[in-house]
Amino acid sequence: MPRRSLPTLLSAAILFVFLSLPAAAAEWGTIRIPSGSPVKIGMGTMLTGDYAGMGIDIMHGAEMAVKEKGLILGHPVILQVEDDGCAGPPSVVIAEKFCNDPLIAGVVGYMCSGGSKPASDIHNKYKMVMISPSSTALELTSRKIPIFFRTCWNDRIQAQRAADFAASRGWLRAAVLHDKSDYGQSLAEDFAQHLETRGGEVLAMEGVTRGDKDFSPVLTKIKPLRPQLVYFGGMSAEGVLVVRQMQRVGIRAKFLSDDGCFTEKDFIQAGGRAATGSFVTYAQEPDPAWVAHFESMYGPRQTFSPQAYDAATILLMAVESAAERQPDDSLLIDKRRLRDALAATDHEGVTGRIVFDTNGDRTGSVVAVYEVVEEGGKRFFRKVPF
Amino acid sequence: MKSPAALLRKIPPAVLLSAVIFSAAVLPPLVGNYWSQVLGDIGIYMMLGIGLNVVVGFAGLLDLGYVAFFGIGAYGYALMASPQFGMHVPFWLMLPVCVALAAAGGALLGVPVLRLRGDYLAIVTLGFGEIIRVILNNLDPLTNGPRGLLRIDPPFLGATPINNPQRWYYLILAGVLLAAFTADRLNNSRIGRAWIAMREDQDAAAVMGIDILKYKLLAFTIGASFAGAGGAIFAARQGAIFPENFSLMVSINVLCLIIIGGMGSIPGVILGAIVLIGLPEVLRGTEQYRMLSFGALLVIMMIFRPSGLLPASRRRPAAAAPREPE
Repeated sequence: MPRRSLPTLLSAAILFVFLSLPAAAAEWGTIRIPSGSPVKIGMGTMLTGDYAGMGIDIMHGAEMAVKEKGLILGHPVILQVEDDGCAGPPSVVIAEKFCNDPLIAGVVGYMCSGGSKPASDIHNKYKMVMISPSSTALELTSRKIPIFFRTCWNDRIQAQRAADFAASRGWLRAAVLHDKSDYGQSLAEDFAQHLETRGGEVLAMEGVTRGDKDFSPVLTKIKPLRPQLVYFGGMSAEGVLVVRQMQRVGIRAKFLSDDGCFTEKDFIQAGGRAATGSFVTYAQEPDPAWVAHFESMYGPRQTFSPQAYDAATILLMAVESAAERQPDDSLLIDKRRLRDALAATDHEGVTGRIVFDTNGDRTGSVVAVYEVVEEGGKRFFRKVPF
Repeated sequence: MKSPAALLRKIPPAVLLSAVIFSAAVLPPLVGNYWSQVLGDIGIYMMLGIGLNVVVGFAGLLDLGYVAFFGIGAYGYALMASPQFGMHVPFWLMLPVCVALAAAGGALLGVPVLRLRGDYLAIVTLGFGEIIRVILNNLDPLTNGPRGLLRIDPPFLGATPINNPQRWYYLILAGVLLAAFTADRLNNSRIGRAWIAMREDQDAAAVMGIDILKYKLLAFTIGASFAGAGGAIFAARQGAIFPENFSLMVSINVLCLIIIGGMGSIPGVILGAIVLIGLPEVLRGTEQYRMLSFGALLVIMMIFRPSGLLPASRRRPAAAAPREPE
C-alpha cells in the first residue's frame, strides 16, 4: 500500500463513523425503571481532597434521606455517589455518567459552583434535574435553565443579609477580604456593594490566596485604617487564620464571615479563643431533632448535610409523584413532569420551608447570623436575633 | 522470553497503526457517552503529553509550567467565543490563533530561560506556569477572575454543532493523530536529531555546530503550540473554564504520563495518558480508596518498568534493536 493512501483512508473512515452518529437526544422524554430494578439518585460531591470533610458530610445528609425513604412504589432507592473533585472537569465526566445511566432519576449535587456550572449545561441537554445542596454562585440560577434547583442560597442573598446585619449593628467602616475564589470574591463584592448602599464605607478590598498560612502582611496594611469590621469571603481554612492573626496584629474589629466558616471543627475548634465573638452567616438552624438523629448516625455534622438531606428528600418526593407504575411493575417517569413536580415543591424541610422561585432559587429568608459564644468552657455557634 | 514490547515490534508498524486507529475510530458508539467523555479527556491529555514530550522528551528541557500554554489556548478561545465580550468567533478560525498565541507564549518563556539548565530551568518554568494562572485569576476585567468564563460556544462542522461526547471524541482523535504525526515527523527530522543531541550533551552539541539558542526556542515554541490547540479544545468542550482548571497539577499530570509512558516515545505518551487519566475513572468503584489504589498501581509500575511502559527506541540499550541508518 502506498504510504500516502493510509491517512486518507483512515480520515475517510473516521468521517464516515462520525456522520453516522445518532442525533442528539429528544427534548425531555421519559425514564423507564424496569421491574425489579432500583431507582437511583446520583450524587456528585468531593470525597477526596481539601474539602472532603464537607463533601462527605453532604453525602451523609443525602444518604440519610435515601435510607429513610427506602422504597418508591415498590422499587428500592439507591444513592450513587461519585467524587466530583469540587471542580469542572471531573464534574462534567460524572454528569455524562449520570445522564447516560437509565436508572438515575435525578441528581443531588454538585458540591461546588465551579463543578455545577459546566455540569448544569450537560444536565440541561439531557433534561435531567439536579438539586445542589451547596453551590451558591449567582450565575447558576440567573441563566434560567429549567432543570437546576438548590436548597442553599445564592451568594447575593447571603452577602446582602450580612451587610444588613453589619449596618444594623452600626459597623459601617469595613475592611473586606476574600480568597480570590469564585465563591469568596462574589460574596465579598456583593457585601461591599450592599454595605455602601446602606451608608457604609469600604476601607479596603483585598484578595488573599487559598492555601496561604500567613495573612499578617495584609492585616498589617488594614490595621491603620481602623475598621470596625473585617468581612471575610472564603472558607474556614483561611478564615480561621485571619481571625487568629487579627488578634496577633492587634486589630480590634469585629469579624464577620460566610457559611464557609460555619464549621465546629475547622473554625471553632481550630480557632480556639480567637474565634469567640466572631460572626458567620449560615442557614436557619436545622431542626434540632434531626441534628440529634444525624449525629447519632454519623458523628458531628458540618455545613451542608441538612441542605443535602432536604435536597434528596424533595427529589424523592418529586420522583414519587411523577412516577407511574405500569402493569408489569416497571416505573415510567416523565422528565417534564418530574421537573414540574420539583418546581412546585412546598415542603417543610429540616432547613425550613422549601419553595422555589422560577429560577430554582429558594424564596423566603434562608440566611441567619450566628455568633461564636463561650459558655461553661465550651464554644459553639449561637443564633443572633436579627 | 521476549517482552510484550519486543513482540509488538515484530508486527509491521503500518499494520499496527491501522489496527489501533481503526479500533479507536469505532469505539464511541460501542462504549456510549460516558466513556466517550472519559476518552475525550484522555485524548486532550495525549495532545498535551505529545507537546510536552517535544520539550522534555526530545529536547531534554524540564518544563514544569506547561499548563500555562494550555491556559493561554483555553482563554484565547473562551474570550473570543463567549458572552464575556459578546464575541462569537468560529472555533476553526480561533484554533490557529490559539496555537499561535500559545507558541508566542512558548517563545516568551523560552527567551529568558535560554541560559538555564536542569533544576534552575524547572524552577523558572514552574514560576511561569503559576504567573499565568495568577494573572487569569486576578485580571478580572478581562478574564472575569475566579468566576470563570461561561457559555463558551461549541465548534460547528457545517451546520452540526460538536456538542456531545461522541462527536467530541472524533474531533479530539483527529487532533491526537495530527499531533502524533507532527511530533513523529519532527523526531525523525534534522530538528529532532539536533534536539536529541542537545538533550544528551548540550556542550558537545554546540561544538558540533548545533545552534543551541535556536533549537531551544524552537522546542519551547513547538511544544507550546500543541498545548494551545489542546486548550482551545478543552474550553470549547467544557463550555465553562475557571483559572483553577489550570493549576500546577495539570503540568505534573502531563509530566507523569510522559514518564510513565516512556520519555521521548510517542506511543509511550499515548499509553501513559490512557493509564494515568483512564485508570482513576476505571477505579471509580473503589470510592474513597480510588486515589490510594491509583498511587499504589503507579508505584508498582515504576518498580517493574522503571523506564516507562513503551520506552523510546533511542533510549533502549544499544544491543536491543538495530537502528536505521541516520
